[in-house]
Amino acid sequence: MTDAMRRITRRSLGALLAGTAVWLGVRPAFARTPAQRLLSLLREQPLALGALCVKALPGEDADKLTAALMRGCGTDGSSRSAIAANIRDDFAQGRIVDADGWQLSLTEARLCALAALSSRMA
Amino acid sequence: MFVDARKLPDGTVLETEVCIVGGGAAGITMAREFVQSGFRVALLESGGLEAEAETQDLYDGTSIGRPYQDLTAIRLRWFGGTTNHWEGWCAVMDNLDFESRDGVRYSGWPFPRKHLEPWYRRAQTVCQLGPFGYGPDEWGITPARIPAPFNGPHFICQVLQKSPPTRFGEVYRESLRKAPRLTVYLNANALRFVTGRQGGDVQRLDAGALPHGRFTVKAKIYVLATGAVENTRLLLSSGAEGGNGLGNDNDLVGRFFAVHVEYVGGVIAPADPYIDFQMLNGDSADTFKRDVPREFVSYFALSEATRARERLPGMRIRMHQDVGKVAGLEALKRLQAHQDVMKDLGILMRDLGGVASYGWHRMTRGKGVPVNAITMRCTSEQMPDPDSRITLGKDVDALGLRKVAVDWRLSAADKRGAVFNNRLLAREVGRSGLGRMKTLVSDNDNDWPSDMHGDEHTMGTTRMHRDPKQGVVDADCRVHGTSNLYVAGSSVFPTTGTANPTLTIVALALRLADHIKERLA
Ligand SMILES: Cc1cc2nc3c(=O)[nH]c(=O)nc-3n(C[C@H](O)[C@H](O)[C@H](O)COP(=O)(O)OP(=O)(O)OC[C@H]3O[C@@H](n4cnc5c(N)ncnc54)[C@H](O)[C@@H]3O)c2cc1C
Repeated sequence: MTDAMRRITRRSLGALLAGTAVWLGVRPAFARTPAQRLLSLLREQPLALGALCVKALPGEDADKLTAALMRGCGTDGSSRSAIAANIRDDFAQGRIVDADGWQLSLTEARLCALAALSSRMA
Repeated sequence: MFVDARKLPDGTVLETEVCIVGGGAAGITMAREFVQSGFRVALLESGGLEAEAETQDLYDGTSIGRPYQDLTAIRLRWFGGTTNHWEGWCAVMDNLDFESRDGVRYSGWPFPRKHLEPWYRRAQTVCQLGPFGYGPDEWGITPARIPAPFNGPHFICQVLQKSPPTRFGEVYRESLRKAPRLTVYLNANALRFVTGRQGGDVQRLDAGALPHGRFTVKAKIYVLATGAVENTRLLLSSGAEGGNGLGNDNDLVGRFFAVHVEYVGGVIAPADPYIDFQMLNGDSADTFKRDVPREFVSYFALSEATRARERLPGMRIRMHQDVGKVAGLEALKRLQAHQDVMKDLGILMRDLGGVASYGWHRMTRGKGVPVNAITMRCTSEQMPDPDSRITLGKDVDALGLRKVAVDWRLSAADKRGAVFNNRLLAREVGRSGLGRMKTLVSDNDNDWPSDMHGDEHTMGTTRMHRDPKQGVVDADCRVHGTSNLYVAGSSVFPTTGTANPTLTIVALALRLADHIKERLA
């Protein structure tokens, strides 16, 4: 575990990742169509989307991602509403990441990337 | 009166005051306008009153650029023309479409949209539409009903009206038949407008009837109204012997060939799967009828302000929802048919959660099945490009006229416009909280989504411009360098916007008819 990873509490990492789930949402399973297969990346395989985000954010490792996300979340980094506000602000200010065509806010792209990197480390 | 040109004795010379070539939306609209006038009119229509294979084959041509559609399938060559299978969607072009736009080379009509509005209003009646009204609020779509981000500033809601659709050849046949000074020549093909050695005015029109009939028309004024591709073909085949065509001193005839570019630009994962999709999906919007039996379709478009500021091509978006299926609910429906009861019972038991969710959302949100994805079907404006063009090929048709070769091209500007527009849309979708969008339009200048195609709206090849060096026809649609040949139809559009063209074609035809009436008065 790196220094930056150690610095964040389990609670705050959990909150960050929960933030990802805020917009990923959970749905009952319905029949699949081609468009849905495309969307399954976003809906059911956040880690696959996370991998795309890692690619779209070259040079940002877990340390940097965590630090950037923590900075954006105020003091304890645990606030879901802070994440939601950051996402809205990203869109308003044009801080957009293109992850294989998905136009994501920088904050959510970082969350997804962090989720993917954390799962690799686990 | 209707006359079958196949029965004319060879070498017949028809004398008239106005000769209209082509009996489609433009030609029939003009002919109707002359019914009450005091002068003689001849309308030459290539086909008969029904489809005939030999005549339809005269439309054959090749595609030598980007693959374009089958020219014998998208155009119909009998009385009524392509309106024998048009869908009747009618829209007005935006104000911006008429303007000279910064950063859009060759843009600008010789007049603003406001100038055309009186004829747009009259075109409503010709196309059997309701009153002139293209604001969403005029159709009950109040601003509050338009979901973000389609309430501005970048994307807005627009409407088009649905014509029955008017089959011009059927609806107006009788009134033309009864008109005392008008003769419709069926199976009559214009072959060549003949001028003197130095070009200039049209002295006569050589025409033919399949298989070998030949006759001539002498008129004071000629109007070419055979659709954009054929207007081009006839001009290139006309003029002084051995020349490069009529009205083509500046090598402009056939250039700037444009169509509307269609493709799926992206997919939205909606944040709220129970979203009120009726408002987003133009197809079902026709349930909002202003007064019976008028119907409209709502859609979304890039706003004029954003287009102008960012120098973008127009884009129109229609959405299609991908609705999920609830396995348990489907099983429940099948159970009523008492077929495979045990199997369906099993499915139902395993998906009780899905059925419960369906019931709950039906009760609370008015719809039980969630929208999984929204597909964005885009129509892009093609930017004016002289290299996208129609020329004459080597092969000839059954009447000896050279067939066309369509060299349809899309430029880097078209592609970059599509990329920018879709990115902007995706960002707006995220910003507004509608969901997240994946764009399917890559950055590569030549690489369009695989479903991209040019639609059947052919335009631009005899563009209108006051300056003969920049246009084939002048602001009155008269071919530069002649005093007695006019062009009607979408070939005169200098830029195309994204609106379906026929309402504008009809409006311009009415305007041209007024001009000719004034000239001959
Ligand atoms: C499938 C389809 C759906 C469409 N839907 C819509 C829609 O919803 N909304 C919309 O705005 N537009 C639509 N269009 C386009 C619309 O049909 C055309 O814009 C319109 O018909 C053009 O009118 P026109 O008079 O210029 O040409 P046409 O209607 O094509 O008429 C040309 C006429 O000229 C005749 N002709 C050709 N060559 C000669 C010759 N050498 N001598 C004598 N006569 C000749 C032909 O036989 C024909 O009758 C659609 C087109 C297609 C193919």
